[in-house]
Amino acid sequence: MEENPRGWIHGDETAKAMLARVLTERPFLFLPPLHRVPLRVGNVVEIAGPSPSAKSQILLHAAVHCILPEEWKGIRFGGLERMVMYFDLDCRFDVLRLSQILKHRIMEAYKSANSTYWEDNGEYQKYDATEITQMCFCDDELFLACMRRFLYIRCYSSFEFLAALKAMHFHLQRESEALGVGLHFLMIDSIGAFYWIDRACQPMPIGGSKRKNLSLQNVAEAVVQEICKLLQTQPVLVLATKATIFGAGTSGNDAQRAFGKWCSERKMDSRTLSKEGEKLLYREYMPSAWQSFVTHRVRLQALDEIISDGQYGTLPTYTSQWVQPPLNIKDKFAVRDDGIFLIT
Amino acid sequence: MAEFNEPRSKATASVSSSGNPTSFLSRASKCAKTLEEGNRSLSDDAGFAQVQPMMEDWHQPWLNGVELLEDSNRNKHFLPTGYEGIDVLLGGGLCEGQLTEIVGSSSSGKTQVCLYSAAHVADKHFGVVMFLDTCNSFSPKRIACMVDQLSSSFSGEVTSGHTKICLLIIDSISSLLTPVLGGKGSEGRLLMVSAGIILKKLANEHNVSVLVTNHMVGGEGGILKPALGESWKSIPHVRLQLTHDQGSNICNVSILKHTFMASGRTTKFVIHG
Repeated sequence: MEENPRGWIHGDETAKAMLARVLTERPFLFLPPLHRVPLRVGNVVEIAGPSPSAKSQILLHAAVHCILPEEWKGIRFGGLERMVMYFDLDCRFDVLRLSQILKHRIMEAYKSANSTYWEDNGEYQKYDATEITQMCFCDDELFLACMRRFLYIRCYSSFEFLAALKAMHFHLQRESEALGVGLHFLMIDSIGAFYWIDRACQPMPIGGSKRKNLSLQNVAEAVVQEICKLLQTQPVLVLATKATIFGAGTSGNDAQRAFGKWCSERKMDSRTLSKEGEKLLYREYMPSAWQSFVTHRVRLQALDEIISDGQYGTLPTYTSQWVQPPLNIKDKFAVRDDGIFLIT
Repeated sequence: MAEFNEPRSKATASVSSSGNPTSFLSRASKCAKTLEEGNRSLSDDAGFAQVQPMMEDWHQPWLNGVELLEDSNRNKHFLPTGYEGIDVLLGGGLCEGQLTEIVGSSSSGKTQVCLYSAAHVADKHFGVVMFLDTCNSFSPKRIACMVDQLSSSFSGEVTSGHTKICLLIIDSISSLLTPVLGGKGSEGRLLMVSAGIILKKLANEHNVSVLVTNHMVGGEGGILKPALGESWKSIPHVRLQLTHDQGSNICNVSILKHTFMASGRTTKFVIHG
């Protein structure tokens, strides 16, 4: 075989060509309500908030955006047409909610496509609402194709979580060969689900000091190691939700009682927190291995206000604030049948 | 449930076909070592292919959206409680496979709702109801009264019905967990979280709807809030709050948390009996 040494010195592509290729293959994502900071594969985003603050709804909204195709039968959906891997550690996932959001998004795309078509033609004829529903529910094929791109697994303990992470790449290879698309999102619902259980594990000195003892630090290190391995071969965007635990790291209810007294002294509503209160509520309890792995952080909070939407009645509102990178803006949003709805 | 059992039967078949116990032990220790060192290179598929059927036993099966929907349509039905207000609010009733919590101060009607749901589900032959009574609130006479009222249209034929448990009621789970939660140390929260995981596993694998009740405690500013603290809030699928006006038999129920309904929705219903 002739070897061309000059070929080694000449570049494969220019920087401009490389940027163009990378930005189309790995686009920046702006997911509401996290739209202020562009997210790319390789980022690890931690969404923290007390319960309930719509954390899982953000994951579902992003998942639907990912599994929808860019275009289907001439109608533009604007999705990514890639797979989503959802690790359900909280075991609270409801597939009916996912299918509700997906159906609403498909119906909206059909409605907007039909209205533009008729305006273009110079005539304006409104389709009957039932006709539109019939049209898009005939499109079961699209719905099923999208649902097949949503991969799911539940874990009832840290051990099952680790076993699933280790076996994941084998399963992913099979699925991407079958479906022909790659993975874009890795979602973990509630990374702190097993915090209390792992924390109480006493490291057992089994005979043979080569075995690693099961403890909170080791579990977190193993999880981070497995996800890093995956990121090396298959870059994905990692979204993890984290529930806040009051007084984690302190003994018993002392922190809770102190906070309660402090709140009543200042006669404050528990929702309007100042900096000290926020420090207690959003206190970091995950081990340092996980903390240094996270590249972006968001904080969510539920508000006492409700907005009334004509179609959906009254809806509770939430705020989201970027902590890393720190932005001093709180975005308000609400959750509707078709996902997240920003309130400007 | 056949698709859930397949990977496990495959794994056991491969283990039993080896026959020789020492070869199985050497395989198990080899895979334990590979897990420990974490040095499995991703291209080393030959070794991993040997270990993979065994690893499928260590985690739940992989599912996709279509399989989840099929399971939900086939196995996870809605059990109506008999109170139309609650059933409409919940979109059909108590969902099998989910953990529902009812929160309310004392004499707000929690036990009444539990007893009536039990009687209604048993009367309509959805399946067997298991009632775990932890605070001495169960009364066979009240249940007998309710069943008499419900089956006034008794047709005379006894349908065999199902023998599978479809509804598990724990009245009240907070009286079991609050004594353990207080004090220093995290053992109380560990027990609470473990109980939650076991209940949700039961609900999902055996298609049971689990209904638990919780009481209220004083919070800051004298406002009542649900007991069991912050960690419990992220355990149930659905949380409902009951309030009862003194002297009337109208109860107010509002959603604190639901998987697909907006929280804050309220409705009223009439408490019978």
